[in-house]
Amino acid sequence: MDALIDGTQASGGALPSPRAGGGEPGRELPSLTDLRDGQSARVAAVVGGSGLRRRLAALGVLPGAVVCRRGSMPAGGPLLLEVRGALMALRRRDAEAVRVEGAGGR
Amino acid sequence: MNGPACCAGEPPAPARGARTAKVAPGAAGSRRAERWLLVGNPNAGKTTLFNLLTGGRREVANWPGSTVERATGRMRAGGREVEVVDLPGIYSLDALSEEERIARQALLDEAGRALVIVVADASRLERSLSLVLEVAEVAPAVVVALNMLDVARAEGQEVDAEALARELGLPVVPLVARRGEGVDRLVQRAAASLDELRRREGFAGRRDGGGSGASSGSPQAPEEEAFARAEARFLRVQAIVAAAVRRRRRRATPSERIDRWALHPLLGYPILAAVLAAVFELAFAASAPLSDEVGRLLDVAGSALARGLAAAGAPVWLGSLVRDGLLAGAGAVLAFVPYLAIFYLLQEALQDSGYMARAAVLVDRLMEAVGLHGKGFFALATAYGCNVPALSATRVLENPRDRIAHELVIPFLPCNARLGVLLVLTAAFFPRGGGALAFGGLMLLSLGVVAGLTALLRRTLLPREEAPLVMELPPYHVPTWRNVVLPALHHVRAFVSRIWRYLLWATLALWALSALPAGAAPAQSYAARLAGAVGILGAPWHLDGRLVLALLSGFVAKETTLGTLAILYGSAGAGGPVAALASSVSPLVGFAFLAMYMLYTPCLATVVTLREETGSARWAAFSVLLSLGVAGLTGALIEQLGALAGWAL
Ligand SMILES: Nc1nc2c(ncn2[C@@H]2O[C@H](COP(=O)(O)OP(=O)(O)O)[C@@H](O)[C@H]2O)c(=O)[nH]1
Ligand SMILES: [Mg+2]
Repeated sequence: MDALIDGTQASGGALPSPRAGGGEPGRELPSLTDLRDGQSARVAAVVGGSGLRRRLAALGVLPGAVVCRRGSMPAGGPLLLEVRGALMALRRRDAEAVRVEGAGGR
Repeated sequence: MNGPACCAGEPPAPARGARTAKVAPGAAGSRRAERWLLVGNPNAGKTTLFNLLTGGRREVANWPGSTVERATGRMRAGGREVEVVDLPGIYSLDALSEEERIARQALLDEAGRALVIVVADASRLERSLSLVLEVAEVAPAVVVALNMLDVARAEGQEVDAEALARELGLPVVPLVARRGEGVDRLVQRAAASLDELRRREGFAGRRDGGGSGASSGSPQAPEEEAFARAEARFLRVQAIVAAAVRRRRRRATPSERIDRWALHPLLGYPILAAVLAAVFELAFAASAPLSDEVGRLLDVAGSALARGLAAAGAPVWLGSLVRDGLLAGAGAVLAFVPYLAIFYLLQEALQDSGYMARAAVLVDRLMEAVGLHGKGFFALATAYGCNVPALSATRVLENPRDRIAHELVIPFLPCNARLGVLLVLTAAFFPRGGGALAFGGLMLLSLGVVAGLTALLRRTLLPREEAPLVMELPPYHVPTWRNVVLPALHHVRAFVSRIWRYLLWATLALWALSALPAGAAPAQSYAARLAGAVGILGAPWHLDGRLVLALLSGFVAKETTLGTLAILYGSAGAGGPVAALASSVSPLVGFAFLAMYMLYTPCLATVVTLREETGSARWAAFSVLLSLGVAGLTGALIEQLGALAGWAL
């Protein structure tokens, strides 16, 4: 119910990577593309280049945020996401960078 | 563990009742104009508020060294002269996009002098508040305009402005900008805040622009620190929202209900097709008669003037100059106006309604396949009407490289004027059938060029940017008159004032070529003589001088091509110029000519607009060279392949 407020504790959720050196923290977690439509989860880490991370951060896609996957476009098209009360779309290759945990919901 | 429920967060309910902090009596005094900056997320309602404050009179220029619009306007409030600045919509002050850099710089430059009104969208409060906190770090006088309260309420959220003000430590004024509610209070509060700032500044005698935090970079990892700050900011925002927002039971909002259809993975596409068909039908149906009427009026005026001049004893060439030079020039400019006006109106309406963003999402996969973006789709579709508004429609793309990639391919999509000429000439070159096939081939060719060229550009000059484009899907709104008509009018006026000189001089030059020396037969005109001279340019493609000249004059405006051909081929025999033209080249060369005509530099107005929209003459020049190169190569290729296949040259 109070998922958004709960996010406080989850901010440190990125697990240390099992592969020392090679991987970034969070690489082993599922990403937004692994969610089903209607499912939501909490962001654990955003991996990838800094341009991508900065733009997502500006939109509030940061560790601790709750993201709900609201739908997806056919043929590998963008995902529809609800983040912090706003609806947005993200291409799959970008959504791949958003690693999540605690997937649940419908 | 049970995961968080989908999209539901229910913070505890605070006390209700939205009232702002007490309004300080407006300290009278200062004569000099003061400045109020409007900052906020895209679609938060900045422009709506700006129009309310200024009465809609906006002066638009570009921010120095950029192609981002700088809209300013004036207002009077209780004896104060205020300049209001509508800053570009941003999500944060992270200087990732040009808009963010500009907004950030404006805030830093004006800190200590200007008042900043952050327009917060109450229905998307977390994102808005994050920006509020960031702005408050750099600007000393900040008032929060809590807009879209009606939308928030409809979505089942009650935002307590008083609690919000307490939590933020900033004045918060509730607002429904669309209906003008709360604006007076906002003006009072803003004035009071600025007076307060001045008193403080006066006492302290300081004027340091920078705030804390934002510019302090740690030596090793400024980037990681910025992420940490963003995280901390959003945590604080969550706490503030928890204290100031009461969420009633969540209902499906009207927007969500529309999106069930509009963003349906299957039904969304026929709906999009229907919307686009309606838009283009409307645009062409409404603008074609207007264009004809403008042309007819100019004809009538030109003939009347010429007759009047003749009656007054003026030489024949003077009448011709007025009719076929000056008024034709005015006609070349005005011919754009109906298309432009209607396209800009429709574009602004689609944008303002929120549907444009849905269309971008629907077609993004397709556009991605060729290296373009869903947000550029409408620009490309618009190009079939006229390339000029298409180029300015690329502004929705926030990465400069993405924008230029779209701007470079748009000229390869034939506009309505080119399509008209192509239709007539295809019929002429293929009198015994095959015309429809040839025309279809041309359309596929232009799409192929767009796809091939983007792929090439993406691998060379314009690699994909790492930062994804923001595809925000704002709630649907019924577009407002002001938000649609004002920008459309502005676009048209800006275009006309930018372009008329070029087109007038170019038309005069064309007139001089075809009408001089005075009294000479068309075959003796400079144009005809020039056709002989430029014939050599067309030799590699087996084009004679007259066709080359038609291409050259088409650069001024595509509508003139048929006129030029009519003059050049007019004397060539029975059956009229079109028949004369058709019999002078083989179908193969005719097809190559059509392809080149479709692909080479569209027109002067497009080049001038390219310069304006890319912000650099270099890109405009590059585009011209690119289209000449592509057209030349394609023409040669068609003729070579055709000849190999056994067609006569
Ligand atoms: N319902 C509602 N709509 C609003 C309000 N303020 C602005 N709008 C609409 O929101 C849309 C975006 O507004 P605009 O001023 O263009 O936002 P900007 O991107 O910040 O300049 C337009 O369709 C406005 O009519 C408001 O208080 N309530
Ligand atoms: Mg605006």
